[in-house]
Amino acid sequence: MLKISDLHVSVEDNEILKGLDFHVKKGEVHAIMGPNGSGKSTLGNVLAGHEDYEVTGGNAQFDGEDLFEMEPDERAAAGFFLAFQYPVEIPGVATMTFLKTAINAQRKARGLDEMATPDFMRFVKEKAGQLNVSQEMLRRPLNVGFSGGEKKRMEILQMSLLEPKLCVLDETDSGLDIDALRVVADGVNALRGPERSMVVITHYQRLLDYIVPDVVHVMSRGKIVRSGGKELALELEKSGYAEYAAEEAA
Amino acid sequence: MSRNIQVIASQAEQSIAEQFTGHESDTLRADAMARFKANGLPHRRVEEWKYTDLRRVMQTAHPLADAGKAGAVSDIALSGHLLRIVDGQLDASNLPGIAGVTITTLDDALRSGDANLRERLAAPRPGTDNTVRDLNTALMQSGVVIAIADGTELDEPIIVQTVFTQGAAASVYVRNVISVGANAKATVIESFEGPDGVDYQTNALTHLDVGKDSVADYARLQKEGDAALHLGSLELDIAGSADVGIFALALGASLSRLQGGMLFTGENANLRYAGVTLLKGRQHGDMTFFVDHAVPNCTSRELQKTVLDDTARGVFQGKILVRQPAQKTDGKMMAQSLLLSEGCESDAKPELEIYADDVVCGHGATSGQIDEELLHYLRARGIGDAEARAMLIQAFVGEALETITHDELRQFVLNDARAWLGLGPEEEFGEF
Repeated sequence: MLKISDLHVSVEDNEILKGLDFHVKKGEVHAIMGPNGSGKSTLGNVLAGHEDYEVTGGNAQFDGEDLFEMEPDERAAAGFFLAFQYPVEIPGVATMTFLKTAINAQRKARGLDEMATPDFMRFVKEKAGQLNVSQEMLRRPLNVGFSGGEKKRMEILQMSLLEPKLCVLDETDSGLDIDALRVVADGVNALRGPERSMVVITHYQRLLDYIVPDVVHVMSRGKIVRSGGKELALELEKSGYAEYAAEEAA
Repeated sequence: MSRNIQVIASQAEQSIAEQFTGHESDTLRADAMARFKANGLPHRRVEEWKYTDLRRVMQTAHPLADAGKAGAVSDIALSGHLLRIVDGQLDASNLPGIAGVTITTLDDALRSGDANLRERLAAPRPGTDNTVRDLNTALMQSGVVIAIADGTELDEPIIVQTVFTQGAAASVYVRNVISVGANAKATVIESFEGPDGVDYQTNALTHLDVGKDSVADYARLQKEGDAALHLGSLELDIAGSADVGIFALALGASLSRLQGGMLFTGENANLRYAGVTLLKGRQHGDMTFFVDHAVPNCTSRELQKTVLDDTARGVFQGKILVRQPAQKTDGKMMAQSLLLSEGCESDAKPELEIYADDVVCGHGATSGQIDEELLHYLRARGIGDAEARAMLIQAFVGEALETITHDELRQFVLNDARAWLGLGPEEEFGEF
């Protein structure tokens, strides 16, 4: 699904990712953990095509295509989805209008007919109900006045509606209390399937109690320095990232 | 020592002066024409016209429109009581009958010898005391006088549709006088339309007097043809405890200016102004407002949103004057421009002039480009670059559109803005 080889990425001439290798197969859920500043969020942003992140070396194959050759909207239409760490507020853009525009833009790019309004309404109602996203939230401008937890639920709602092949969740657990975390995790788990892969970026092990990964990676100084099973997350919870920070200092 | 510089009249100034025939004995008109002849068209060395050099731009003045040659007009797609001014003439045969509202032609009202009306027409407000007004007074062809009686509450808006229909350029001078009595509630919409590619000239001045304890909304939709010259003036008097909302859309004309003189005449009144200007190509659009806090305890809010593309130029000049007696004034003004191209230009000049010591006033002006973070977010959800930009431009002007309280009008203006952006009508999602 996603194969990243020797990826180097710079932001304003500072190299953040320094030769990252990463391979996610169809249907797998991978977690990426690591201390602050290790480059976790950079990975999500560069995959989504944010223009501040410059790819200086390496490549990423997404479902057999060169991801970095695609515009951000083409990546989304091809089935890539990033749940943002900090979803932006867009005053003046109605949430429902945004959702319908996004769904239909992707359908159009895939050569499908537009989704008719009644079907769209039913679809949103069903998915919103599962994620405790109220009608009141849907009536507001996108993310405006939403709490941190509401914004994260809106990200997962978008993910449910857009039905991507590969989901990257960038610190989706940050700022969530335990109840919100459970709702978000349930939403994510409902999307797990043999055709869909996920990359869960997180600082804390807590989220992985709810979204149990197949593989856990530790990132440090722009590279993956260790990979293992889900028990690796528990080990990190006990020992912390000091070991990896020490490696960095060495 | 003052020096009187005798300027040679330009061709346009000469033609305008020649149009003044048949009204020499009317002192209201003759005095205005005399002032015009003395002052000429305003130019960039006149402070309020620094960014809009009318004398330079207005090379020719066209003859007054002959309404006998008027073409067909289609109704504006808004429900309400419709009045039409076509090629400078009010269609007096189709004036709507509305309970509590008296509608007369300007001609009839003047002929009836209404001294108050003549006095009102003769007296400018701060911000409109200039040649554009004088020309309108000297040459006004037609107009409507609408008087909404005390205590009248209108369910539907009154719509004055001013249309130019001809293929050959002409000039149109329209003067409308609207008064809303005490304890009344009304929405009045004026729209200005005409064909693209014809360099016709419109000079339209509206008086709006809002009585005590009334709630009045006034919208001015300037959608003139792309080669037109539009000079608009709004003189607004706000009586005590009145609540007035003004909305101005400007997306037409090659050169346009709306000058507003807003005067508080009674305490505890509230004024909300919101404006949306959308310009492209080589359009030049000017919004110039003067808010006169002459009495205490009034509130004013102005929000101007300007979107500029290609080599268009947007001008905003807003002045809040707080006179010495006007304690407890609360006045705020904000002008924001969104620049879509390298070649466009935004000029903003917000001003505060305060003589009272217990007031809360503020002003600001910003200009910027589309927020790349927001654009990236939309694109990351699969929305193409052009559509994502259009959504953000709509969002930018949305804050001003949201101030329109009349739902159908808000939707109408939103769809005008969307059409400008190349988008279809906005879909409404009901309850589910």
